[in-house]
Amino acid sequence: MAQPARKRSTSPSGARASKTATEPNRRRKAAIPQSTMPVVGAIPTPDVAEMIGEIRIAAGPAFSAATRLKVAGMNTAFEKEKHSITLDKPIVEQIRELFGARPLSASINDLLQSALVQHRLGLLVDQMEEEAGPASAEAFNRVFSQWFEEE
Amino acid sequence: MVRGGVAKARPAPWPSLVLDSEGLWAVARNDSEAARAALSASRTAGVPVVVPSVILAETLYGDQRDARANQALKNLVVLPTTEQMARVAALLKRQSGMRGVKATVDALVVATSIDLGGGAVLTSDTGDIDRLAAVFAELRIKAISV
Repeated sequence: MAQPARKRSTSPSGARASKTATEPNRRRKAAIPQSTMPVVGAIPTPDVAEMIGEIRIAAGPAFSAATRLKVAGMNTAFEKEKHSITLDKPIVEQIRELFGARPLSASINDLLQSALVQHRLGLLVDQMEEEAGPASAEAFNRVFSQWFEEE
Repeated sequence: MVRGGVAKARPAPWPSLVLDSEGLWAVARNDSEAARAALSASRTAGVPVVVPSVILAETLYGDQRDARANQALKNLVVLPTTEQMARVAALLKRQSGMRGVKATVDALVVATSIDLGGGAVLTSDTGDIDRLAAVFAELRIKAISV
């Protein structure tokens, strides 16, 4: 007996999207007011909403990955090295509280990575300021105003 | 805020700072006050400063001329371009109607920012970055001029 054809999740542009990719993104899509849909240039494209959906599908886990960089700067799983270290008990308690059931090693690794990234950035900024002096208040204002400027 | 004519770094309001080719060179040459302000504010806020790996291919010469850039890169995060980012970049390009190699690199820069949850892009080409970023209005991505 012939089985009825299964319905496939298909975007209007014809690209088939997997169930796992579309479902979380459907929720995000609903959160976007229509007025924020971008119209690029003078030609409003009819499939903008679908395009945004596609970008969201492609970006996928990136949205939970703002933290990704916070720690590692990359996805790569590095080779591990085992060490025995001694930590202050209150620090360990705070880490467990912050990261919940996550393995302690992974949590400490992420925190150290994050600290190293910031430390190195500090070294660079110090070096730049030593060479050319700190930026002026006007420079900060110019930079900040570009961030806050509306489209 | 100002001590003896020198500004105390304010914390950056952006969640990440991505450098494009000109942004990287401005940092490497250290000839842009805006670049110093953007990096200093990012440090104060504990915000990551990132160079997409594709920018290295665009910017570096592969010889001793890279010395200053390499010095800066040592203290920055180089983020590899993943397949996912490349796919996002392709969509950004298509939707913004931009073409060519330069647009591809710019789109990868914006895709990197999307991957980080949005933020500022330090660039000399604010128009193109803002145009690509406008495709994805859900996240705030703003070009900051070097």
